[in-house]
Amino acid sequence: MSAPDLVRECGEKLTDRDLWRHFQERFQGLIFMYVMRTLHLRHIQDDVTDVVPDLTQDVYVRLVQHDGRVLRSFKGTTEFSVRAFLARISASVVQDYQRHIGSDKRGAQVIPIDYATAGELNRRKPVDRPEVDSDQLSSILSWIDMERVVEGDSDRKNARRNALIFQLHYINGFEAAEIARFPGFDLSKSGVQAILARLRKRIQE
Amino acid sequence: MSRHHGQCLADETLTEYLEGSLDPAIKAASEVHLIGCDECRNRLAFFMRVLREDVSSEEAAVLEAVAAQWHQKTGEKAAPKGGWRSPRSIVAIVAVAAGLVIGLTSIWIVRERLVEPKTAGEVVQLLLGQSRPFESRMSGQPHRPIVRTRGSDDAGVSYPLLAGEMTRLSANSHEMGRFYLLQKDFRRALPYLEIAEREVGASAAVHNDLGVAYFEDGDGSLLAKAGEEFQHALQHDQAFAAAAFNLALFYERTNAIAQAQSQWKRFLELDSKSEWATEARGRLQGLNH
Repeated sequence: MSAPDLVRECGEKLTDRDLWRHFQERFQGLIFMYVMRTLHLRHIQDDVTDVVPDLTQDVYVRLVQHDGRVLRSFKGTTEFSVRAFLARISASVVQDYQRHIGSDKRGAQVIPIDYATAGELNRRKPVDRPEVDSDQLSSILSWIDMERVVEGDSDRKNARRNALIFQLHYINGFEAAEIARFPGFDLSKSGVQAILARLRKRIQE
Repeated sequence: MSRHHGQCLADETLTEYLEGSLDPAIKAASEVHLIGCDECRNRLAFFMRVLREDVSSEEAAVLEAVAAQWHQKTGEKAAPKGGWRSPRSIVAIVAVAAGLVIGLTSIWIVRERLVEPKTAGEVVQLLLGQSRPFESRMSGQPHRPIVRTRGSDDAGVSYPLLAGEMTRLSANSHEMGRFYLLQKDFRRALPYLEIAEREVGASAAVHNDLGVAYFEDGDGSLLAKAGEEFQHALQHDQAFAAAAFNLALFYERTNAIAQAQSQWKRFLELDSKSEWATEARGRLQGLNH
């Protein structure tokens, strides 16, 4: 059974033992991982070993409560859509947990920009940004008008996507390969690198 | 910096963008927004990091510890150790780890053993019949010897998935509170029980169980509230034996010995024959010496 079908079946048959065993075999590890990563990314606590199982339990509750409403709302058709679905539920559960422990000061699901830039950029030495100092370009991007970058891009059809990729790389610290892994960008690693090089050149000009 | 960029994007839209499943018009509008909205782009980045497929060695180590913790809580054997280098291996290992199955087995146990419980209250009652998690006495709890471990360590019972079963059976606040209380999960139990206590017509049983949660929580600042709740329960129903029992325990713990002795006697007037009464007599004797 495909992953999306399995999720849908579980939504229809909340007490089917074999089905849920199958669900656990396939997705429990992912739920652990998404909860753990969310806890880390949101800087909630360093030692997550104790809390991840409890929050995983909350993910299950979220899935089945109200007669499986959340599960039955799932409309995805791909393996990725299932992973994204579980990641959203996990993130939501962790957010509620954060509110509960009273450390959610901003009330929004935001990664601190210092984490995104300093944390990622300083740690990594990406091979695909050779000509310009990353910190310098990041600071330029903080005031540059991205609409002008979009307007100046020769690839008119994908200009906004390209500008977004540029930001994800220089502001949020993603490497070309990481961006290319997401099917939504519809690019290979070298395709992302080419876009970065072209836009970098335009900004330098 | 963020500029004017219209309505922010839902998490679902962000992940569908990453998946490439958005309608072209919505995709284009989302890109316009993402370029201008730092917050949404940061959320997009958040999901990119959460969903990435590679697993660092640090993450692998934590996941292994998490899986072990899960096994401990569910009473299942630990999963075999192995590499966590790829997503496939993670799924496989944690799948084996899927002692998880016990969760379902637990539901099965509850559903198939004896008479299948049809309500959330019956699930709690069934669990209460298996072990006694602490000294004090929850409403409707049959007498059992005290077990000095967490309720959730009970072999063969997976509370995580039973929680799902409780929800499926439309458990109310009191029942959910009791469900978590018997696991000694006070962080979850207290909010439910406090909600139940605020409801109009909250019964003596609700006050008693909230009192038990305060009493057993281990937070000294809650102890006084425990005594108040036991008193409230008895105000609602003077013959409520569980609250009478717990109030005597409360006096013992607060070193109000004379009050404790007198409360044990009051309890024994309400119940002189059960195993709770036998326990009460033993405690009273201990205080008299």
